[in-house]
Amino acid sequence: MNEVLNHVPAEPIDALLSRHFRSEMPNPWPACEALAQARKAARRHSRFRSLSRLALAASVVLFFAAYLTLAALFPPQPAKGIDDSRNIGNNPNREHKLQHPTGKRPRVPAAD
Amino acid sequence: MKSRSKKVDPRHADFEDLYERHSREVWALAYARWLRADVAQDIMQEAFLRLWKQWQEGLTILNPRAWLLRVARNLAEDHAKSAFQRYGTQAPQTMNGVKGREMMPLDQLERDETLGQLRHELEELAPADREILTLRYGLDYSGNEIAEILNINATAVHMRLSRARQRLAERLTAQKVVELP
Repeated sequence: MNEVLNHVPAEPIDALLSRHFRSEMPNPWPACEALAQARKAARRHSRFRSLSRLALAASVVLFFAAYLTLAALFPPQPAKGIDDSRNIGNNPNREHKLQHPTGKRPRVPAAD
Repeated sequence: MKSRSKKVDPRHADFEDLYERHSREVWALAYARWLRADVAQDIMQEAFLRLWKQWQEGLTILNPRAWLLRVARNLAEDHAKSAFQRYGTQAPQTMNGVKGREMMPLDQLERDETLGQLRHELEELAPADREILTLRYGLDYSGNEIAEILNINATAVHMRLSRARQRLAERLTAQKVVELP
């Protein structure tokens, strides 16, 4: 090895030092990893936010679609016959107690 | 028509600018400690990552350059300690740039041998001298710029630079690697 080196032309110290340090420097210069990580995190966060908005919109659409489907399957029934709804709670066999506005029972005139 | 511009965090642009301006200096200081490009790169990235976290936490750093250089130095020291625990003395990769045994072209072999000898001599220098040499020959910095980074006198930089060059030249001339200046 020394024989080989003896044939190598010696170079000035400045040139050798420049060559050494330049060859050691990364080329191309690396990108900033801190920023790359921050950008990746921001992108992930933004994607998550978009997804949650999309999920909300989809659930609203689904809700209305289900409402309309059920409405189509069960159309409102038209009223048939007598409407008893007003009589609910009334007992037709029972006499209604009429109350006089004065709170007293009205006198029934005796039959002659 | 309304134009929608993509929202860009203004801090990203500031940080990118900071990285462009100071990352090489941070790398150089870390490299000067270990003479290992890969370790220096890891340390540089870690220093910037820590700075970014500080920014995210809303902490104000008045002089980010000085902060980065200090953190890089501390990280390099920590790496030295952890490497000592792992290997006992120094990481095997630092030992004279020893590489694999595969055959190489002759000129590559000679070049690696020359740089290997230079690396060996650089390892013998004080870390402060290596910092000056790295900044001078790696980044082409002037004496004043180096003095500003290292927070020392410009005269001291010139003296140390001259002494380190002289020492390297003598040793490498004895090995017929360089010519006398």
